[in-house]
Amino acid sequence: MKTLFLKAFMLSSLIALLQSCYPGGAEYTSDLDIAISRYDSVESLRAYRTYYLVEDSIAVTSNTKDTLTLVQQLAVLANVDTQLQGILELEKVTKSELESGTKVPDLFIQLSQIAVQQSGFVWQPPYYPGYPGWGYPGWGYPGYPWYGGGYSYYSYSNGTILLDFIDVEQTTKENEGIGNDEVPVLILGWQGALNGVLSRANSVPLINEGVDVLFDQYNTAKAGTE
Amino acid sequence: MKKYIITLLLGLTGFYASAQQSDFILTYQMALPLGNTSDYISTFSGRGVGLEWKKHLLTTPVSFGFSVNWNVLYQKVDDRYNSPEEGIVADGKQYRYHNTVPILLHANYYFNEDGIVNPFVGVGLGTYYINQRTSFGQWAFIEQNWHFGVAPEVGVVADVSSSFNMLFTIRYNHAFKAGNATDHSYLGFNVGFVF
Repeated sequence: MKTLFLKAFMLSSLIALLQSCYPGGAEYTSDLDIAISRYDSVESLRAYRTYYLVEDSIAVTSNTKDTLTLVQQLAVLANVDTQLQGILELEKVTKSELESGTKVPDLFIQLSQIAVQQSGFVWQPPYYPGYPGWGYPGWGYPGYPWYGGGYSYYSYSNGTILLDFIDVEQTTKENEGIGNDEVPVLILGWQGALNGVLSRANSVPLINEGVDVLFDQYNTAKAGTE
Repeated sequence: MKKYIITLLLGLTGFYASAQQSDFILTYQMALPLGNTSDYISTFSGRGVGLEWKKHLLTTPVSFGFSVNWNVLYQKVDDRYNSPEEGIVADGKQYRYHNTVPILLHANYYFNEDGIVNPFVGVGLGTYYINQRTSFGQWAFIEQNWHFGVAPEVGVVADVSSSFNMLFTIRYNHAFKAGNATDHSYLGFNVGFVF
């Protein structure tokens, strides 16, 4: 009887010990922040030289108020613009050059912010279902992105910032001859996502830091090795 | 098949007929990851527990037994994920968990069965249930598989008390490749009580 009691005591102690020291994982919200980027072709990444950035605002997909104010958006866009020329060494095409048609950029870049409350969004480069209009001359104005099909993941209210690098040449080719009422298909050369940065005080320095990490990932991808 | 079952039953009947003493063993288990397992999680683990039942033969210094064990490996990793094949680069904290449940049949040979210190060698054979989980941001990538595996071990039983003995073993656990999952291995350092 004594031995049986001892066995039971030892067994329950061991299990309790193991249970109590089972690793817990993330402790803070910041532990869940991630920066992730996808691309289709390394050759394309190496070939891009010029860009046009939509600098007016960052598109919004949200059912919460956890999005950036216009002042914050402009601060983020200014940093993106600087780092496109700094980290990625791309040459800027201005709005007047774009509209006059004197220069055609390799990349049309638009940022969007997604702050959804416990519902999913879907991310599927390089084929993009398209904006109602994506801001490129002849295609209307920047609208709200719509995501559908393919690779899906879910986000809580912490939100996501997306950086879409649309391949202008491929997108133009893909949409040749489509009607005005049709939604163009956008071909992404690269897409970066910062998950977890919205609604944590919507910190602009935090987002800027994340953008730098994403652009560093772009250079890692361009190098093409593991 | 029928032939094998009958042979197995006869063997077990003979084993129980000649079995003398039975042991119940509780072990605290530590693990040092090796090979592919070490590539995934390289840190030493102090999280493990095992239960074992043993029957000793009457005439020879041999025992047969059955064990169920649980080992947990864990590591937080900050490395950049870069996969040119998938076209993905990612940064963020990864929380890697590797749960192994070896369910094994054992055979041991003892060198000094009546002594105070009794060294032995043995081998375990059976299945390893492995659940590998990587948490990244709000997502988790989970792989779970049943592997066939072997576990050779060396150890010593020490007669320390009238109500129980102590056991110290080093067990090499090797779970073979299963489906798309790689093989896994780790060195187990076990300290136990024998009742």
